[in-house]
Amino acid sequence: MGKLNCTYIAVLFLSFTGLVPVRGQTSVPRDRYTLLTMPYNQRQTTLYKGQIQANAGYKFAIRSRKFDKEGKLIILKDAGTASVYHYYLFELRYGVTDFLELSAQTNYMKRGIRSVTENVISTSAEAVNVNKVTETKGPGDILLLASLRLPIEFRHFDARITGGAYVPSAKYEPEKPAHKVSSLSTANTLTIDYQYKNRNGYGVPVWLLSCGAKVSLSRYSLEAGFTYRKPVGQGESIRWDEELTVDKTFAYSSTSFGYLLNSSYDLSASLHYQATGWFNISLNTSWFRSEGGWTEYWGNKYLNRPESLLTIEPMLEIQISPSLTIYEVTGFPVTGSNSDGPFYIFITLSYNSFPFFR
Amino acid sequence: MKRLFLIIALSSVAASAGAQMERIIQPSDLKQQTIINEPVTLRKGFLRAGISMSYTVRDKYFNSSASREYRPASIWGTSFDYNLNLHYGLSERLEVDFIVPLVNNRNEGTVTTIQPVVNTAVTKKTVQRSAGIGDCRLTLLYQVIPEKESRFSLTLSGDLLAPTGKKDVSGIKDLNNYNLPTGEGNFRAGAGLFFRKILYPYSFSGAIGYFYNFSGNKLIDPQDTKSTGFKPGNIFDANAGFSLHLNEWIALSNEIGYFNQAKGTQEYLVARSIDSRWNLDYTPRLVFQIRRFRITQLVSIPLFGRNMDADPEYSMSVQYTF
Repeated sequence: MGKLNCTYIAVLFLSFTGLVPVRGQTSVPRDRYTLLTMPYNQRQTTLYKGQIQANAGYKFAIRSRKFDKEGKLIILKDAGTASVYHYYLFELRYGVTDFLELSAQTNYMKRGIRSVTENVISTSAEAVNVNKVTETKGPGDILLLASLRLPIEFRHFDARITGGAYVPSAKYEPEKPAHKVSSLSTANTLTIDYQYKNRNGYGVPVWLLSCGAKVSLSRYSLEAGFTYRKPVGQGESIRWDEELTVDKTFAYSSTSFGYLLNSSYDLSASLHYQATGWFNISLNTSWFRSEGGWTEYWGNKYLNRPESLLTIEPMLEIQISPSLTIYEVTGFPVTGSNSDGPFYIFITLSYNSFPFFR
Repeated sequence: MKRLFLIIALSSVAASAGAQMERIIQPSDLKQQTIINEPVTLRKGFLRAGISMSYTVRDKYFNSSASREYRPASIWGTSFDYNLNLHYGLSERLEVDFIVPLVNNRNEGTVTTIQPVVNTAVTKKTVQRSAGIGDCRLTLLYQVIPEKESRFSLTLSGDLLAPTGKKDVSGIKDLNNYNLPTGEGNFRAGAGLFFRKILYPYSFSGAIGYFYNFSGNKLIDPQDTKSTGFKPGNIFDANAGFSLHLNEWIALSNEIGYFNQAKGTQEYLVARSIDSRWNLDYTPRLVFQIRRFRITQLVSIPLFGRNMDADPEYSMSVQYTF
């Protein structure tokens, strides 16, 4: 019995790697053109063997709303702190076999969040205007992933499991601020522009575990997924302090502090309709929650606020040519707590090829 | 010999009949051509109507040193504009375009005034907005050199902008809360040249234009008690583009554009000058040709510049050829 189990596990493992293909469902022609033009409702959850996919995406988000601790909606443009967010995604995926996929992705983001302008009038002749912009900019960490799917040809049902980690490749410590002081026409009126310069990246490795399933019936498909992220350990970063000197310049000093990132999970579900072979439309919904981390201030650890956000995303997938596909996603925040609720447009251009397939 | 002559004569008739077989092109087919293979101007009697929507958020700008920086003060500025456009082919080489812009701009800011001496902190919101018809534009396009397989096309354009939009600031509540104008308040006339070469499925194009701004007068600032004369600087622009068919009905276009506006003046008691400005931007554009419908999505990305906004602008348009 034990020997039988070992054989079963060995065959299952080999079938996952694709060395022993299992064809439990009806076979379809497997030429390159067919695989490249496979519509979403007939496509498996990982890439096909030998397929390379390169994705480049751009997300433009308008951060004009947020949800407070109780989930109450705050209109940020009324609060004077609305901003925009630019996010660029780069991803490379490779199908090692029909059941195993490897991928790597990274991103670049930039945004500047302004605070309410303050006009401090100390006497009738002296006034100080204070502006503050907190910029976050730079490349993010590299995410390496491996995905395994069921060792059967996809027809109606598929499932996958994905594991990987964010490698802390980005310079995550904030840059020295670039505050400046300028004098207006009157001698005793100053404008102080505070500009903080944060960077992108976690600073510590974060592992990721994800699973998903897909069911297709005729032109309709339903896909659901779960993703969990957890930092490997606590990290250390720096915080900049500034001092305005008598000659109206800033002197900076940095202090280090410890932190533990929140653990987070996403739940997502999407309903797809394959209108024609080249056009798929879907409605996605995702629920994000993060909690459990802390940040050190003056030697004390303070719990990070738990964050949550529910988003709805209408999406289009348009196959332009066998090699090129465009994805267009529009995101609408529905509810959440302690979280920004941005509206966004995310456009991704996907290039597919079988470079080693004759 | 006579028989041989008859055989050759009959064969040649058959051969020429075969050589003259052509596909009949229907006008409806011509109305479904894409931006790459259609003529530069609309064919005679063709009418194209459409609406475009563009959106931008004011976040960054190019300063006077040509560096890109964030707007430091608390501000939320958006432009959500519509353009109604009509294009008509007067002849096979002459087209007239008429564009009516619908302007919708909004700038909001928040300032907290703190007075420690009297222990007060008052937060005030400022709103400046504009909504309404902007300055309408009439353009004539004439193909000086029509496109042939072996050569490029050259098109001459003439352009007139009329100050149909509101030119004055209005609804003034205080120095920070008022309605912005929807138009510039002066006439503008211009001319340009456009060339294009098709190497199917690709096309290459380039254009230059020069626009002269006439003088005008308007309430420029909410503090003004009477209209002030002004003259915006003249404009030179140029662009170069490369387009390709991704498939038979989707085209991808890439364009690099240069804009330069010379120094202008405002005739206050002490004349003020308006700084010159320029920018260089990149515009990728996806154009879907679905039968007679044309759907265009584009984003204009400022790359370099001076004294200008540095924010990307998103635009989508739908057109139909009648």
